Amino acid sequence: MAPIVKITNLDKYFGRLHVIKNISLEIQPRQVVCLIGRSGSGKSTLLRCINFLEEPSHGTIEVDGIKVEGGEKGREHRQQVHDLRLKTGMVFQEFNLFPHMSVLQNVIEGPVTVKGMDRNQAIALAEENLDSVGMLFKKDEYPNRLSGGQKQRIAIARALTMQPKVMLFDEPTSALDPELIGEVLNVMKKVAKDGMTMLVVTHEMGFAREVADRVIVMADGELIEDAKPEELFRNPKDPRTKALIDRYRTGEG
Amino acid sequence: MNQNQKSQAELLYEAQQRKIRQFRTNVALTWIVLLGVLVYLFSGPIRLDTDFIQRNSLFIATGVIDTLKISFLSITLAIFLALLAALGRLSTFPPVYALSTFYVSLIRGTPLYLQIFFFFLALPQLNIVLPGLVAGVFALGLNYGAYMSETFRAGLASVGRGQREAAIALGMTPGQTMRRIILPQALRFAIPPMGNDFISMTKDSALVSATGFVHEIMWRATRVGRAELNNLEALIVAAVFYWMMTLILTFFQSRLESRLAKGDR
Repeated sequence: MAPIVKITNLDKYFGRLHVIKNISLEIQPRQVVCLIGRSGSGKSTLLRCINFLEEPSHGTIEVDGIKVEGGEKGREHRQQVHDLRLKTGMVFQEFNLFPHMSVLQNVIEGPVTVKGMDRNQAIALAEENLDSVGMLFKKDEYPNRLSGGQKQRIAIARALTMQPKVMLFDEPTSALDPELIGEVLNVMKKVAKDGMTMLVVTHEMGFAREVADRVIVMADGELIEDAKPEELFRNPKDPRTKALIDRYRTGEG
Repeated sequence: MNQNQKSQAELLYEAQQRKIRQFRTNVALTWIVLLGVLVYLFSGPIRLDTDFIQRNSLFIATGVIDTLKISFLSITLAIFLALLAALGRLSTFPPVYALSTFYVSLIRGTPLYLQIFFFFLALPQLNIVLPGLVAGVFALGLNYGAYMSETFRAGLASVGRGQREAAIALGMTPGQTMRRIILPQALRFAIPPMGNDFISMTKDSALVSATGFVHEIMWRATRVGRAELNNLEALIVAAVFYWMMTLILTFFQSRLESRLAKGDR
């Protein structure tokens, strides 16, 4: 099967800092991949390079047949990046719902403004997705009146309503109170079960173990380990992976 | 035990409320006393020409129309210029950025009074003769636009980076992101200070009277005051009208502000 995401020889520099070091990675359709690593290892940057929120310094990103070279300029490049972004949905740590729009407006904004979708059609699609994250009952509410967990579930519905091929999650539960993490993880499990390809930057080892098809470990801008979760957690090959897992174990215990 | 605690909390709350009420009452009383002193001064020790006041109050009051008209037109121009200047400040295209900073620096670096005279007195030397109202609106609008651009800039800066990223991730173009996501939030942030600017403009518009072509409150007051040597009475009447106008506008301003604060939408 052809990979749906293909990253080739990706490099990213922030000034003189080499944050992503020649990374290549393929993700198959319907795969759920968790990206773990200590903070500063480059995992968020790698994720953000995939939809060009960070422009890669070198290398190519290919998502569902849209192939974009990093570090280029011009009209054609911008168009390619735009097409690439339509293939990806993103969920942020800080939710980033639009506070001046109601929940429903938040969710239909993308399809209507970006895709030019008919408003009624967008509303139908939005309501379907809001229902599946259990937030339809708040569709006329404004984001400020909702809990973090509710906001994040809506943010997931917003990304899904763009009908992306791949969902990117950037530490989706890190800004949440502990008692609200579960509801978001449950929604993510549901999205995974529905067959979405997912790349998740996370510290939730339980989620990685239970839901992921692959767990990739990053350190110092490199991929140091890539394995099935049961293998990785039982028998980590790299000492840095072992240290990372032990840290979470003691944290959990 | 539980009930006891609750009543104690209530007692504390009531004491707090009492304190707030007392403070407000005392402030209001002091205002009344100060007003009383003013009224007493001008009725007894300082003799005012009440006949003059009766004859000319309406004439001065009519100036409220022109004062509001020039303020409204000027603030409209100022908002337009401020928005352009604030957006220009975000530009990565050097000439646009430079134009924006040049405009703000030039206007903020010179007195409003000078700018008003420039439009009335200096431009005719270049054979550009503007009608009084137009020149006044240009001067006030240009001036306030430069100051208000800072308000708008703060408004734009108040919208977090995450908002822009969320919009971009949805596939919005920079233009769509600005129009649909950033500007609505920035403007909401800027509305209360814009209200303040409008109120202070109704008073700065008095400067335009110096040129003698806009018949607003100040122009009318000085005209009748000089003609009959009753400047004291004329200026007091003008002050009362400015003050009342400000009080009314401030009332609406604070209502608007609390409405914006409530829903945060």
